[in-house]
Amino acid sequence: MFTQTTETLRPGDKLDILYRLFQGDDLGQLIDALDNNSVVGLQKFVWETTAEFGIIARRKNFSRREITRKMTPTPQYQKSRGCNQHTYQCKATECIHFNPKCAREKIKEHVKVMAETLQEYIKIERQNEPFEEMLQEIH
Amino acid sequence: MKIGEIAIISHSSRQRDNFIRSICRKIDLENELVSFGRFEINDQLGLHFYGISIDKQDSDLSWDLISRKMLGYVVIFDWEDLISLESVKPIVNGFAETLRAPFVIVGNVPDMSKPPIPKIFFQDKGIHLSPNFRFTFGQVDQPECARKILTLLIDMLLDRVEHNGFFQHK
Amino acid sequence: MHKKIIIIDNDQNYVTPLANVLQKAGFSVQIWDEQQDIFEFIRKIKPNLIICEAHLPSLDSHELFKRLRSLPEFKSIPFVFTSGQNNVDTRIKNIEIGVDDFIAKPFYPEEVISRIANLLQERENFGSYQLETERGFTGNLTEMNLVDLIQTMELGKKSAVIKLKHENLLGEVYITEGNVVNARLDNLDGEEAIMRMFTWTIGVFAVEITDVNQQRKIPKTNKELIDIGLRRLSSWEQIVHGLPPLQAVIARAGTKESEPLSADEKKLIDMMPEKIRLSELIQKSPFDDLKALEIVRSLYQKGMIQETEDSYSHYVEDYIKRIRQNSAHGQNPESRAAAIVSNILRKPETDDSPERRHIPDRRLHGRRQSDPGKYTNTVYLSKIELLMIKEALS
Repeated sequence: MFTQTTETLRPGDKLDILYRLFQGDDLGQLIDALDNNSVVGLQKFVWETTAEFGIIARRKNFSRREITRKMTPTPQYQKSRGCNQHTYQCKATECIHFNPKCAREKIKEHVKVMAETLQEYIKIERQNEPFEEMLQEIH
Repeated sequence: MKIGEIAIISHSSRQRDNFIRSICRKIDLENELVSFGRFEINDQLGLHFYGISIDKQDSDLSWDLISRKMLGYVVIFDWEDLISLESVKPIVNGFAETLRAPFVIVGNVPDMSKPPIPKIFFQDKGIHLSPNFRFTFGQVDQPECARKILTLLIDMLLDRVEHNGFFQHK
Repeated sequence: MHKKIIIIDNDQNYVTPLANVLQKAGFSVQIWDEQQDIFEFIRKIKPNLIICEAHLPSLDSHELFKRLRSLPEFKSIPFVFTSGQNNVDTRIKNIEIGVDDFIAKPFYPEEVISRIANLLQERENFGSYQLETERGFTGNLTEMNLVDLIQTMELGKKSAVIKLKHENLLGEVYITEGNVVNARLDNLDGEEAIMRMFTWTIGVFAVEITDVNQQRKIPKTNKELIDIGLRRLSSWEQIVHGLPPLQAVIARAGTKESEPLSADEKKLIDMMPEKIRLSELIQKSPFDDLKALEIVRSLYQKGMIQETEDSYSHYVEDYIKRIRQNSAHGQNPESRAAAIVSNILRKPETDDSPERRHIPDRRLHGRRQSDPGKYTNTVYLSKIELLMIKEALS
């Protein structure tokens, strides 16, 4: 076990991301403006937030597939970019340093899917809200 | 009397005073840069609130001296004002680099009956930004809301006290 | 004379900021151009240290390292690998070939500076011992503590001597075929010695891969030791974060609390001189270091000990004096509030007093050596008090 960890995105930056996510803004421009490490941090944060929201909205029915099924499968993505590397190397944390342009495009696509899914979860709960408020009043 | 000290930071003096007034009912000391309010729990325990306004140019606010005794921080910005968000961002990042303490970042909204996202996503525990930073929505001039924000901060402190009373390294 | 560093890497995302930061830190930096012959380049520059990306398309870095180590003129140059591949297998491989340090990407340039400075310092400190070691590596305990080192040796089933240096203490851990057999620290040996070293998170280490001829004095398995070590480390880090830095100078405070002291607390406070460094107090105490730390925390929470002004570098002294002057009437909340307000209201451009001019913002400047960069606010209210507050708010 190696104890080194890295947290590359600061709370203020995450606040910015949340703002854009909740406002439904596109994160593409922000991704372009960040350095490599921060882009990886952004993807991780958006994923964690989306998953958390998914668990709240979908409860026991939540599964990661719900989010990932909308993303382009890795082999397909690699083929479209003409990449000859092994599939296991096509990860943001690996390739961002070797092929930042390609990795960023992939991250942008993933983040877009996650943001859209997040909006779906918000929509689900908005529909549930009157019912939840009623339950609270009863209790 | 044992006193807990909490800093309320906002880009606007109006917001920071609204929050303190919502908790303390009155403000004991007030000017453009800082305000002070007290909340008495009982004759042996109380909370002191230091409300601090931040300005983009104002970067030297003796944080080192006031910060050491603060139990925690509430940072308020206007959710509907992007400039307000931009003004607190560097402060929040600066805090993250220099302090290990709980922070509740509040996106102030004019009407909490219609928050930007359903309450279920942020109400109880806020949204996790980091082990010491949580985000929530609130309407700081509403006493009930201000108390919920403060309760979130107290919960973060209780969490740490459960683990021997000290903040864990990130 | 500036120490010279060569960077062998083609990734400008890392090379440029790293070179800038190294230059600002006082090193002379040369970046290898792929057009040049690498050996000619190294021969010409005569570096004090080489930083090399482990996986370069145009150069086999591991082969380069092996060749450099085989040549007398280059043999003693410290060599640091960097790589985005930070898995255990990569680390083992680097250990086996004997590289001096391995820094995983992404890294903060400041982190690299710190490790390079330590590596170069160790070369001076450990001197000939290190140069004689054909296979081994050194590092910083903040990056790799004793638990990490034992696990690394265990994975590779290595025999080694791990030397650790923490403040003025020097300890050794002996490993045979991946298993910890003995340890020494001052007048302690065996389990007692290794338990102390588990909590060392500041300092340096040197690992020599070599046959070890030691009688087994530690019967516990590595797993058992690591379990205990991790628990000790976790407890240590939890406790230490709520205290002043270990380099802080502390003194007895006036009795603010009427809570009684335990026998151990009395013992520790009685043995304290007027002022003492926190780390020294723990070292000199008759207790195990973790227990001593717990007692210190308890005393600190009860207000029986406090950090003294000696802990602060001179540029903060005036600030403290000013606060004390402003709260001359005592520690009551109004005085404190007035003191804080008066300090907050004083803006730099309007206050040209000599004291103020000498006080840089600690956020930018005055981080103490032992302070990893953050101040931990103590939760000075008890659980009951916090629950009372929560109840009052509901």
